[in-house]
Amino acid sequence: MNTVATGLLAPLLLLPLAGAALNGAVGRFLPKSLSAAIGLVPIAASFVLALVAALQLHGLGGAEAYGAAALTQDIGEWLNVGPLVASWALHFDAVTAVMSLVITGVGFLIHLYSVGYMHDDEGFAKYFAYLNLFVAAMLSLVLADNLILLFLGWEGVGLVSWLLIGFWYKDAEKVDAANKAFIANRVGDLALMLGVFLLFGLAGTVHIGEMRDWVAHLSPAQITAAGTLLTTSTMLLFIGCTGKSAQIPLYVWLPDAMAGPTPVSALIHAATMVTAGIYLMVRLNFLFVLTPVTLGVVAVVGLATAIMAGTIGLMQNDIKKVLAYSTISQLGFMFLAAGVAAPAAAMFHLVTHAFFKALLFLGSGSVIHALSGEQDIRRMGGLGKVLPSTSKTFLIGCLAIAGFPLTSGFFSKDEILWSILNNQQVLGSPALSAVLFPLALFAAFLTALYMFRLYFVVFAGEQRLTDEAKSHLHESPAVMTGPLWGLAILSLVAGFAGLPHFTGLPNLFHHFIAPVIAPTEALVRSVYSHDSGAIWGCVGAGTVAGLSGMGLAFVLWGRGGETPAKLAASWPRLHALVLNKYYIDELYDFTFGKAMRIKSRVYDLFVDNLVIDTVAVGGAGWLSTFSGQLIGRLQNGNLQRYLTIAFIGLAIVLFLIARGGVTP
Amino acid sequence: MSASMPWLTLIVLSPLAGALLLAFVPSEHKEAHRMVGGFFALLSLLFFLPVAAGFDASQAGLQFTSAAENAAWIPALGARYHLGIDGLSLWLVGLTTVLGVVAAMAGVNSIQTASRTYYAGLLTLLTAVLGALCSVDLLLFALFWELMLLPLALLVGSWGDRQRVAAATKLFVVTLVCSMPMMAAIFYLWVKGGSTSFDMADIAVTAQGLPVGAQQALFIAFCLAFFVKLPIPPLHTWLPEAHAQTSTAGSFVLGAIVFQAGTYGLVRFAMPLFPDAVYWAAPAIGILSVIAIVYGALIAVTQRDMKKMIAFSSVSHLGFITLGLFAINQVGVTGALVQSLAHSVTAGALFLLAGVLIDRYESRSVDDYGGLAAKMPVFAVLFVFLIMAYAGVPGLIGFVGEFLVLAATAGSWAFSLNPGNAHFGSLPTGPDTTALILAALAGLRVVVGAIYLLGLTKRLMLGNITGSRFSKATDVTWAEAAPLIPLVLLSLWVGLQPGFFTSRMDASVKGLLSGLAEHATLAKETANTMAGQQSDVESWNRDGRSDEAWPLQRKQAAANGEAPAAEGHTAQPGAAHEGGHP
Repeated sequence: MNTVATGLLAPLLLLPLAGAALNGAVGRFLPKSLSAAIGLVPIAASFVLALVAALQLHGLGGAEAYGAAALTQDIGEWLNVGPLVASWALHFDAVTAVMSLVITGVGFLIHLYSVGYMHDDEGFAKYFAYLNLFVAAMLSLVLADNLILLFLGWEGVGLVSWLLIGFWYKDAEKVDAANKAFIANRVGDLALMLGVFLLFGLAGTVHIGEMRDWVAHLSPAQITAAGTLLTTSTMLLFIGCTGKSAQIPLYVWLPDAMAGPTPVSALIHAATMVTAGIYLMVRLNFLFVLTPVTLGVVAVVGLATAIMAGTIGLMQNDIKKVLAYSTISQLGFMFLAAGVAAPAAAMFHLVTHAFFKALLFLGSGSVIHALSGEQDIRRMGGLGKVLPSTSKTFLIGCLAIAGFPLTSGFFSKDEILWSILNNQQVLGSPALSAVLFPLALFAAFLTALYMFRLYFVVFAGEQRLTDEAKSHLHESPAVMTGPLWGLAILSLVAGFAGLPHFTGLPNLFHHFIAPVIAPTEALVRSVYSHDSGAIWGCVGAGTVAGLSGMGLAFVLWGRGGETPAKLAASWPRLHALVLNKYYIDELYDFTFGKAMRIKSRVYDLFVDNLVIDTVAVGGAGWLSTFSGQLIGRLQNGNLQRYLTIAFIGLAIVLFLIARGGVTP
Repeated sequence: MSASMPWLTLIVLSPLAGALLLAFVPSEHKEAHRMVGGFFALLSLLFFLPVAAGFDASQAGLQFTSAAENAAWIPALGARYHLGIDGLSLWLVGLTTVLGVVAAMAGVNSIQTASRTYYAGLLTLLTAVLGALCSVDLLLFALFWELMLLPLALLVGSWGDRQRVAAATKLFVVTLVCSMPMMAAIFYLWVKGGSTSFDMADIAVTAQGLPVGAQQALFIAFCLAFFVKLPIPPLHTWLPEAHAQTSTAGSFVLGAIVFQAGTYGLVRFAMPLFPDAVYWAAPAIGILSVIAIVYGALIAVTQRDMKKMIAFSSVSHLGFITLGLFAINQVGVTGALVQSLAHSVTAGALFLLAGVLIDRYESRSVDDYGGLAAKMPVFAVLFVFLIMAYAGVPGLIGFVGEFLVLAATAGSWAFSLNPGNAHFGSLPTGPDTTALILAALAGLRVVVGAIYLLGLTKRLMLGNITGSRFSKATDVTWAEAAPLIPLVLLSLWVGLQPGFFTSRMDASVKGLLSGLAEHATLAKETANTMAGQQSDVESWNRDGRSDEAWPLQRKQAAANGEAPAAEGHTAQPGAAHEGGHP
């Protein structure tokens, strides 16, 4: 691989950090317009730098190996202990280019939108400082050339997420949500860390490039010999991903994380941070492809998450919670793609999802803003006429996520569906793909169903607003609707960057990131199918699933009526189960909350106080009482007496030991 | 390297000079006490600067021993006044001098009565700790070690809550009793060696000449003294009580300064003196450390008394030091030393932060607080920053030690319960299961630590303001914030540039490890025997080399500067493989 040193990467990373530092230090003394500028300019500049770097990267690759190059920048030494070497070193290849453009591009639009959304908040400058800090952490995650620096970004985004979810910290519930997010993330972080240790033990390096070389030179016999260890390490990495990317079993923090300001949800909990797990799987695809067992688990967990979250999303009445479960569900789709050895499809869906989900979140923010803080969709309805920009862009977002033909979600979702069938040999068992495919179609159907339920309930039908909401009803200012339209356009057209191969048209996106995912591609190409009939069938099935979901949503919620309520009444138990989110939160509360507290109490009261302190130390306790007065006097500083006692004691012990025979 | 100036003596004795000077300052001149205390603590720090600047990172052995610092002290016993510093002790000494200044600053706010006693006690304690950290002669070390106890008991017992004297007594007795066996062991070794020398080098020869059983017994005696300072359960019970009862400044001294001597004692004496015992005890100590880590963290979760919470958390945090040291590899020992620094900085800072609130509102219960961030924004920023440093967020000091120790544990062979997987690497069987389990369990602190640290942050800082007395709360004063500033800067410096610190440790750490490998005769024999039996294991064959065994271990063996693996092994893995399938 052709690597070229550059000076672009450090400023790309450090500009947002500088913005954060400046706003954090003096922001609260500045007028809001200046704070906003300090927040916006570094992100815009970083976006430009990312664009320049991406073009430079494009130029380096040449016609043959389009994008087969990387820019690097070594900033300095960080950890360097024996074999463990991790520098402040940045690496910019095709996948990094895609990620940093999304982070800074979508990030900029969200920053811009925030200027309007957060305008009346007293913590305006602090908000932009956090947002910039987040962008810096996320950039360091995707720019890291070694796993420890990546881990810094990984934990860094978790930390800033904690700050932002708990942004309105005077509300104890929001603080609880923030803490829950941090702790659930830390469970994943621990697994990731252990996975990194194991890999470090195997490869002797934490540098991603060196690790890739190491894998490339392993013989099949060695891979077989290391099979269990490699599988364990990729499984641990995947558990790490389930934390950050909100998959079963660690997804529980994401719905609660909606406590933060809505633009934060758009940036962190839709477009960037939650995609870190996908990024990691794509970045380390050369490892995952060696462990088909892990890939199978990833695919199954991803799909299970997609379906579970989709069903829960169908029942939620908080506009942001619907979107939160939708995000979990879509991330499940991406993991499904990564699991069926289609990292390009996962990455592509990551990008399109970043556009349309950020759009949907910002749209919901616009609705909440218009209704003076109302989030319950049962008290919305008929907003299409009063919020024209918001409702139109929201509709575009819904169409894209539902995979309406020729929108971005159509292309990215169909690529995933198609990969399930095409890569079935990689999965090890064709039967698995036969199970996954119809379920994935069902998940696609669910997506369309819950999204259009949301759309119809919020924007169609009659207004069910509270009086307070009615009194302030207004469309959002241009600074908020502008980003909505920007994202709406991206949601519509982004799909054309990834046209399906079989059409004969160029799949620019796939081509661009191909060098990074070459290890997986090499394996997949050997089982590549050219049966265009199957592909057309697959695309057709995906489209039908999406359209029928939309249709059913229209029938159930588009025309008003009692059908949904009747359905719920006819299956009360199932309804209660899904409505209560399968009682997973209750289970976790018990395990991590009550059970651990009980254990802690038992240790504290029984083991520590009673057993150790009273019995063991208390065995020597008579000594304390006996010598209490003695010591009391000693504390007055009678050094002589203290030394005398010390040496008498010493002599006794010495004598005992000498006589007792340490001498063997 | 022998320097012309006796820098180490100056570092060690300048605080004591201040303490003596304080005897002549009338007891009512509070300002004068603070000036003298701060000045002499700072003097010690200033004398450290030329040592840090002139330190030769490439040298494994002791440095800065001037002619006057290796001289006869008690000729009749053969005891010498012998000071020296190397990569193992350099930063422990340096940080102690910084913490001395911080403790002097903390006294301004925390100690309002009998300030002369505080500063005299603090300065004496600094001399004792610094003396212990620089001593190479075991009798000299023992003297400084015992000298620590008195001012410490004084500092803990003189200010604070009602039960403080009882707590100080407990501390005093437990520590004293537990250090007695070490004293006995020192004298025993001295007698065995012909009653002529207490010098480390001579004692080491004596110790390593003893049968393994005796080494093990003596090693336990040493460890007992050091483990009580780095409280390993069940030797920890003095700690929470002492912290809860004493003043802010007392907690700082106890929590940030004193335990460094325990770290030092292990790396300077207990480990190099008894190599065979080190390998023998490593699995047990590894398990004890993990118990400390998990147990301390779990108890911290339900503490309502914030100082007790930090104290139990300290038990957990300090467990990483012993865990790292007894992983017996370069990453582990380095990580343990960094963890020792990290714990001082971050736990010390937390005690100061808690102290700001306790000194103002006279309650240690977290339930009495809430929502202070709104009234004390600067304090809240400091609080969250230092909590995150303590919780091990990457880029800050807490991460470095914890991460290195966990990495070292996962890749260590020393914890193996299977004696065949002995300690000289190159066995191509992949990682040791015991080590992985220990790493995973120790890693639980990453999660449980987040639970109680974020819980503490929430209860004190966030949510609604509870109680009317906080409605007029003002932000931190300079006097309250000043001691925290050096700790914040250190958190960033070590977190962002740990290489600056670890590169100066490397040579000495390698020296320690190669010494252990060289002198652990029994462990080596076992390894050889068992290696011969483990023959039919698939070997790694990267770059076409057959010794590409377990890369981590191989690299470490190479990094150790010599090849115990190659020498100690009767059969190379590749050869063993062929031998297994003739």
